Amino acid sequence: MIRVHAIDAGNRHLYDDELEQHHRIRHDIYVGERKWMDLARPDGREVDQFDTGNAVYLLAVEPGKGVVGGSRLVPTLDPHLMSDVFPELANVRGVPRAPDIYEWTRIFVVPAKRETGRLSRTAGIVYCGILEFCLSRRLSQISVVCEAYWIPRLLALGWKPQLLGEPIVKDGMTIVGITCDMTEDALDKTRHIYEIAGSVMSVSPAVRLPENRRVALRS
Amino acid sequence: MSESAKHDVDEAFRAIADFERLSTPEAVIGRLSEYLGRYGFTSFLVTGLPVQRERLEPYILLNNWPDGWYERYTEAGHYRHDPCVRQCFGTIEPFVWSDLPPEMTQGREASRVMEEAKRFGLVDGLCVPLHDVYGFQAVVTMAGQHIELPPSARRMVHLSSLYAYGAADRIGRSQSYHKGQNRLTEREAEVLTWTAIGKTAWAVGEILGIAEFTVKDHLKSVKLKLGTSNNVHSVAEALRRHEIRL
Repeated sequence: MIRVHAIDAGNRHLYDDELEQHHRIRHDIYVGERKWMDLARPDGREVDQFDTGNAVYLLAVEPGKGVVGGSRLVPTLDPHLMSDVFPELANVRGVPRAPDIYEWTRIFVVPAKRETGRLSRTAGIVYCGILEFCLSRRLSQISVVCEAYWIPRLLALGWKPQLLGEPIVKDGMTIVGITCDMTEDALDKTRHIYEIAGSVMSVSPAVRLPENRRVALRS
Repeated sequence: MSESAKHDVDEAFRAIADFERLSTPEAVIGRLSEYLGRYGFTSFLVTGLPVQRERLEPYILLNNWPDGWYERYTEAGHYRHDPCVRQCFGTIEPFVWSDLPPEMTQGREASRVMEEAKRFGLVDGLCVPLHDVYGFQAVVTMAGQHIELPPSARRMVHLSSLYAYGAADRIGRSQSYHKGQNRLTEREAEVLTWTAIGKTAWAVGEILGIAEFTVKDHLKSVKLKLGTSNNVHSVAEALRRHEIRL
């Protein structure tokens, strides 16, 4: 069963393999598939300036198969994509920066887990993981730089996307800056649409140390 | 930002804030008419786009097309030849009718659609294609006699249209949920699901422990509820409405 693991500075030493897989998958998807060539790296690992010690990785892991999806959250008090690269996307409301707002980037689902003509359950699991994590850490909002086509989806999921400014057109795609509200209602609606019952997290996100760490400490 | 661009942005932010709190299709139509009217759009349609080029009606969320045009469009079977529909299946970015490549609009059937539209006052227009949360194709399409849409306004109309769609979709979902009469019962959905994977009425009866004629009754009732003409059609429609899952 696929579970979402929240990986931050406190437990990342337990997830060397998963984090390594995730950087390679990011390279395969963003450089290989989507051809964002400025992210290409000779070692086949996609890493950018926002992969710092403060980044949180929410990785969907399938036992026996490894990482099948995931996403990244970066504190908005740190340098992040909207503040450093696309501040003009927030030319009306300003770039949100607060301790309880993180920026959401690098959502991905491996090709084998995408389903043509229907919803990808793995994507739904990652969305629920983001909401559960934010609710457990009392993060009220996420900010996002994304293509405009996300807006109808985020509205239907109950994430309440709020525009921060005018869009820009880059490589033929309309890009917007938005915030989304991380609420129980959003979690309910997202679970309903993806038919997900209950938590998707590997351990209760309130527990900072995962089970395997305690085992590791004992041995 | 220039004064007029600033005005376009303000108007869009105001319209978007309104769309989020409106709760009836009529209210969204009213607010969207007011907003789009600024740019010369006098008509619009917010609708899902069926792949099978069948009738559009069950997919329409907001209909503000001119009187008579929808009837003419349906009767003439324009949907299957409409170049805008074709273009929507190929892009997720908005496009103006007059920007469509000539090879799409010059065919006999396609140019007939565009010429007839003109007679209803739909001379030029903008289509905002989108995907709903389930990944199905939809569009917010708008038109008028003379549209005036500088690039900065066009970008904001694009975003406002996505929010208008979101409002129509939210209201549509809650209404069909409350109406309820056209939703399949658990048993009907069960029968249809077994049918969808190739079981005969006799086999479905065996699996569910009910008589073959009861299975056929359920399938008949499904056809009535979904407005479909045979079991294959029912399966397709029920999948589209998320009433069954395979």
